[in-house]
Amino acid sequence: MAINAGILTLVGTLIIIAITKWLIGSTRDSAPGEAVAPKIYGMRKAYFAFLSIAILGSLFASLRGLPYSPPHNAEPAYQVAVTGKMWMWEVTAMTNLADHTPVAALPQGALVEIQVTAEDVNHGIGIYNEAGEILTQTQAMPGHPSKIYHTFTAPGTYHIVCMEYCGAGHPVMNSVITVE
Amino acid sequence: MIENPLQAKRMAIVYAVTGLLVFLVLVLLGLTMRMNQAAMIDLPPDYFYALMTLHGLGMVGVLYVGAYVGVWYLTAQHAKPSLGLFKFNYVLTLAGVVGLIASTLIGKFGPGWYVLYPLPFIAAWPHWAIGTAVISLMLLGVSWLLGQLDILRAVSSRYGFGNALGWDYLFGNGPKEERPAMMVIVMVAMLAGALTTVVGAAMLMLYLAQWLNSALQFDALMMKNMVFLFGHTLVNITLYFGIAAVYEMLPHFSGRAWKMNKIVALAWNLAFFLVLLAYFHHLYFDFGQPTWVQYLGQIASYLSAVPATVVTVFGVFMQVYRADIKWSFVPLAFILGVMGWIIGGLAAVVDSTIRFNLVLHNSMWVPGHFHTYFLLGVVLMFLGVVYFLMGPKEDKLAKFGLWAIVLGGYGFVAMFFWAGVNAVPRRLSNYATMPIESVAQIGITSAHLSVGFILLIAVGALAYYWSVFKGVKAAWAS
Repeated sequence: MAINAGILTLVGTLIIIAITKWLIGSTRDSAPGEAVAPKIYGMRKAYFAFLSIAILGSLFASLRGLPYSPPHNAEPAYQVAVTGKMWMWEVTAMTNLADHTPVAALPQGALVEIQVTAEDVNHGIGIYNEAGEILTQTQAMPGHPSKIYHTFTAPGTYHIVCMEYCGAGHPVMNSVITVE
Repeated sequence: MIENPLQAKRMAIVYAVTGLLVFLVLVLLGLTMRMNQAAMIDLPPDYFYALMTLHGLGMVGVLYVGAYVGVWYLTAQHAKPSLGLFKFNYVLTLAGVVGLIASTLIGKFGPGWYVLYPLPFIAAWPHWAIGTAVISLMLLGVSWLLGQLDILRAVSSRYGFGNALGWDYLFGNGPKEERPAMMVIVMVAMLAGALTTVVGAAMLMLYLAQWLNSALQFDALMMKNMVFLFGHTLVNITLYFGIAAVYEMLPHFSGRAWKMNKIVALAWNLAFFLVLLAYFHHLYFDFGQPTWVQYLGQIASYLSAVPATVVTVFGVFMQVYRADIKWSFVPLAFILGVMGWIIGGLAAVVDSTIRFNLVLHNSMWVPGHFHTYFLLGVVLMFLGVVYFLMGPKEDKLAKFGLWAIVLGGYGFVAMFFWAGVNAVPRRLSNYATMPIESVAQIGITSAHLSVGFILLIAVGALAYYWSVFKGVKAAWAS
């Protein structure tokens, strides 16, 4: 996902630079403002149509499947409660929701509800895989718990990294979740 | 038009020279931070975060004030803002800056530029440093609010409140007199600024109350909404100030009028609402927010692209396309500044997409996008306005400086974006404790390369300063 954002921005940046260069270059052959106005207005009209479609299309495509509810409204199979405090993450409970029994590790392929809260200041929980990709994240705010949902697709050690600056110990605020 | 133009110009020069010097010092603080992240030096974390706080607050403040001064000076060509208040605000701003320097560099106050509640009251810095910082921020807020209200008063007195906002174009029979297109931007920016500065001031009053009585506690989500409504709007109106200067000054070089019309009025009135609603994108992962507000944050952020590009960018097209422009320093700085504003805006819109934000939030992408629209957007516009104000003759040296800043700047921000795409979190003082080796390595390498790019920016800034400072004496005299 992050690489898509990077490619989109890079391509857009190159287009903007090319247009700026073209615009500056156009001044080598000057003409009165009234003479060029129809061309600019035509371009503006076309751009407005393009932008309207692009905005509507991307809103339609991107505002679905947001992380505020479980994917496809599926029932989570496991629950993990994580509390952030200066400067550590406490994984207070991992539960199999089928029988409400505690588990020592999460299984792969099961939808997990991660309940996140904070005891003192704002923290941010970022869950990384071993390849260094952020799989999901949310804020941990005192008094306002968050819930995120994730299915771990491979066994391994997943790192919890604090993403919200929380004081001098912020860089050491890391932990792990094990998936079998 | 203001009655004492020479006095107004001199005060603008005082602000400009102060702003340029403060900016360079803050660049050096940024250099120090990147050197620490590159493991070239080893600062204690509390000192790193104090520097980070001063760098962030300082840059947001100096760019706001610098852009405001440009707008004040240009507005004074048409209306009568108060010169006395302009001078008083300089003193108030300096007092605020001195307080912030004391609280950060001596008191090691380091909660970051948006002082996210309740961090200022919990972490380990002395009680006096918290109070000094809060009072200093209040001084700055008062100064900015007074300045915003004064411009609103001056422009409204000259054109009428509704007319200055372009309502005669939208709802009336058209204007009774022609007026600069810049005015609608100035009014929208000042109005949004004044409304949200009041919110920021209310938040700081609560901070002050808790500083005086530590038993008080406030809701963290309410405070976060307040700080981002204020901070997001402040940053955006800083950009609007820069754009207002482009609207006003580019016609001097293109020879084509930038006329006020119904579309310009509509676009900037729309921008007023969008800037106030888009701040929700800072709170996508605060689940205490109603979900519909999260949708609204993305929709408002996307729609912001409409007035910015359809109206302003095509306005620039109308100014520049096949115009008889000599690419001297000022128009070049402006067009490159508009380019940086749009590129930074694109990166911001990408980040405002909730699904992208899930992996980019609080990563290095964030400083990537705001350094783009600040350093390569509003700073370039500010350099253009100051150059115009000083009127030096040394064009080649200043242009060399401009290109060095632009090349160094794009290299510098590219390092943030590269690190952000590779999941490097922002605001880590170093990467020694980052548990994933590949992420840590990209963090260190990108910081290392940034150091070189910042030095190029500093060289460019010095070349530009040399050029404009030679013009100060002549500008002061006439």
